[in-house]
Amino acid sequence: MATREAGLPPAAPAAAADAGASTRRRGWLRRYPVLPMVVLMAVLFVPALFSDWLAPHDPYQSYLRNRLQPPVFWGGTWEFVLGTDRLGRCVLSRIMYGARYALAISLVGIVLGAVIGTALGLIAGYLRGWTDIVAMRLVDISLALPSVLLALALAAAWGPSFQAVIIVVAFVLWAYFARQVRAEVLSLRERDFVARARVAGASNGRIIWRHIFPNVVNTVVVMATLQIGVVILLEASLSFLGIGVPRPTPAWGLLVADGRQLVVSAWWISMFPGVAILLTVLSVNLLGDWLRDRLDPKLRQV
Amino acid sequence: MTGEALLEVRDLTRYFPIGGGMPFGRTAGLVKAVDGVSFTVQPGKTLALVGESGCGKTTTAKLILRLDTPTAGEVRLEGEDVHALAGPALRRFRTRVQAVFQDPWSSLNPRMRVRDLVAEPLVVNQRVDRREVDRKVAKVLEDVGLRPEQARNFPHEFSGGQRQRIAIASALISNPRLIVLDEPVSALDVSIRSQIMNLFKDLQAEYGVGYLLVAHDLGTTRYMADEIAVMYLGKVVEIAPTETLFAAPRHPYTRALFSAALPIHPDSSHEEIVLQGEVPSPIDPPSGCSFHPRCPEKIGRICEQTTPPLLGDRARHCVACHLYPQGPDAAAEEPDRA
Amino acid sequence: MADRGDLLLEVDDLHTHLVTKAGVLRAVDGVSFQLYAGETLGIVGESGSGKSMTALSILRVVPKPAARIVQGRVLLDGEDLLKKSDEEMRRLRGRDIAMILQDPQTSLNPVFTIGNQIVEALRIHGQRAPRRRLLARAIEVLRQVRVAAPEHRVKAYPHQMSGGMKQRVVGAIAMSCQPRIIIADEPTTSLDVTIQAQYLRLLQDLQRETGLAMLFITHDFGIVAKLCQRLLVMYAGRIVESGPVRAIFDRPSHPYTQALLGSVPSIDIKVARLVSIEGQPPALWDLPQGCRFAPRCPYADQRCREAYPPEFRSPDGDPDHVASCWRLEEVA
Repeated sequence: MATREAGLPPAAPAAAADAGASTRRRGWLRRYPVLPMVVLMAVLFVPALFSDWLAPHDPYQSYLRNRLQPPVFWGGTWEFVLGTDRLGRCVLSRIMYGARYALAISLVGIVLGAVIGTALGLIAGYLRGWTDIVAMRLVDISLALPSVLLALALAAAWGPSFQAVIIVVAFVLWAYFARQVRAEVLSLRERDFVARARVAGASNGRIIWRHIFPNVVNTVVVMATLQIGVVILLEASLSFLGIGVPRPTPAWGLLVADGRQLVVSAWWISMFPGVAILLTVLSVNLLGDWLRDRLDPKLRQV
Repeated sequence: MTGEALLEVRDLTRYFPIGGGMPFGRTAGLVKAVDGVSFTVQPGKTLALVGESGCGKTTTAKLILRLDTPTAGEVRLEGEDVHALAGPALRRFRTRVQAVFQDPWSSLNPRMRVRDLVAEPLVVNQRVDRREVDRKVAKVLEDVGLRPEQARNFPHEFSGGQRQRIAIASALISNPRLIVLDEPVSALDVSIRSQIMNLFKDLQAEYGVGYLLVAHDLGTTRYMADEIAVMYLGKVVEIAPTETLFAAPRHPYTRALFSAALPIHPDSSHEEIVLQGEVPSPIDPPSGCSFHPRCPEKIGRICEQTTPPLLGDRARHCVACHLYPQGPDAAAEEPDRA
Repeated sequence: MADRGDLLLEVDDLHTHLVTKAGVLRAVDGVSFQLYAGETLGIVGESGSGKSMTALSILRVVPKPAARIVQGRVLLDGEDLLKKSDEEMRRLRGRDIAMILQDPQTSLNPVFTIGNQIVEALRIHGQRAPRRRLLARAIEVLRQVRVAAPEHRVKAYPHQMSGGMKQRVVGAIAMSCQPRIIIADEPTTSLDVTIQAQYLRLLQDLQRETGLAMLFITHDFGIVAKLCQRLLVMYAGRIVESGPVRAIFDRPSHPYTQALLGSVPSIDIKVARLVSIEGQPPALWDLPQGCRFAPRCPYADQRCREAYPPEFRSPDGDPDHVASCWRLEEVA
């Protein structure tokens, strides 16, 4: 049995404590993914939270005399920095307000999907037997159904709405969480510390909540982060197809759709929202990768 | 023996069906992991289950801990049938039997503090107030050689030996009558093993707790056990007090096991008995005495056809071998020419 | 002393460092020894002692980029292996020096038959022959390591075999190119006791038949007693005691060796109380200044803590038996 006694520092912090303060500062820069975080703040969080103060114009306001203005570096004016669309609405303001929808839909949708999926994954993985079999068939069915179909059905029934999109998002995501969590639980439940909890007399509920769940939380957090990009793209696609968020909400997908016919002449209407989506998804994915490397217990040893 | 046994195991059997666990799957065969095992553990004493992989010692331990249900047979703790317990009686059982597992790295929940890990057996089964729990945690941590302040830390801040101490503290806190030790030192560095083995002995002297020791290392067994049961393919083939067994091992497998164990000095000679073949799998055990394909002292046809019963004075030496049809103390049979 | 075979391998002042987040670990910190043909040299130590890293350094398969061999010479037939090119080392590994590792599970590739794996080992070492011939050689090698029905086994996959059998196959692969030295790193740790006995007996037979030298790394003194003629005891990256096995068992001269021998429970005698070594194995990134065992040594004094002791002769008089302990100075 390979033993891991001496020779390997347990958690390193003590040894690094006396490193000089300047080394610590430089190391900080390298240890955290600064660039993605800055981009994400600029493109997603700050606009989402502060657009009321920061946006130059009301996103719903039409300036009919300034329709189809180009961005300032393409012959336009500073009044409309990124230009205007067909109805004379400020592209920049719409993008900034759109960040709210991107953020809200991702957060609520992912949390909903994660909670349902994780709970099911925990129970199915730990209890096994019929619970597991039924739950996994549900997962299979859910994964087989295309999200677009569900969105269509909901749009037909209620008309396109913000809530419908969130439901679609949760519906699409829960199965992934359930499957991943279940896989982890299957291996965790064989570990000795679960056996010792059973020997101590802990009930199933206690074991799942106090022993298994804290050890899958990391996975769930990483998964959730990596899904943000997926969700934003999903919302964009649904809105683009007209079955997502209703007009005239400035959700990013709709903004891209708005400029569809004018892609050649007034390219800025679709381009800048597209760039916003790109930057957000890219940053979120880089952040998620970093989080996974940081939180993955297998990589925690020296 | 004196008084009532602490743990009594009688004809304990556990078969696993092969062919998957699916409710509608066909059973292609049986893994006879534990096949009619009987022994007792006296209060405050240590019984060791010794054997190689596939012998069933780990499964037996799990059956005793109620981590698995037997196919047949019973396990009695201080007279009570362990697998028939429910409700408050079950909770009481959980405080009276605890375990220490082999791998100190995976037997402690990395996300729980030492305090919570150690207190769990207490907290789960009884209503004890917080201050009382802290007091008991502090005491038990001291008993195992750790400092009470360390209760705040997480397992990864400790070395392997210290983690095993934490596990032991957790096993002690509910004041159990029996602790099952599953290879408690094999994953530790050699210089740490003796620390932990000495700790086990000291704790036994102080707390009067009995141990069921599952081990493959005979040296550890000799040092820690009062009585030894040798297992092979799900059955006990020989059982005796430690010194009796080491002085006069009877069963050919026991003797091969002893000879295979490594000497402590280049000059100490063991009779070299090197067994042929592999350790067999419990899926398709040989007929009759399951050791006969490898047995260097096989008598003849009888070994292939009849399973030898475990014979002998229950309180002293028992052996299951056709060489000793009158038990271990009588003269051995001569090999048949049949 | 019986005549030794020729000097095959000489390690001279080897230093291997591991660079980690916590600092530089001096995993091998000045190790020197010789290995002669036909003998088995044991290296005993616990985790962090540097025994495995020494073996990996000899073959230059240390885990890069964290590990670096920073100093020393490894002489095979007088040539320094540390100065050879990667290409030359590649040709050497397996052919002149072969290695058997601890875990047979991970030593064998699960998707190839063992026949294939042995043939591949042969091919790597330049054996150009039609596949049929190489397969025949593979069967021969399996027979050499006492695998029953080798003609059938050659077509089997690793998962169809037991741990002991797999370890023999690993041995067969190691033997396939007829190396002069085999380095075995705890090859029996995961095996059952009776299987271990078979395997050790096999190694002894192989050695007698081919005259190869073996470097056997273990933490188990029992294996050393059974198999080795000479022994090195390592602690915290250095050799603290070395000499003929019998001499060390009869008169262990370093307190670590003494404590270690006393802490192993024997099956031959009933001991009242095992010797217990206080404290923990040392942290390799924070080594004490003097003798590294001093924090745990019952005899340590001021001098031990200040200066690392050189090698002294053991009081038993055997010129080959030496230990690095200040207590031996007066006797010398």
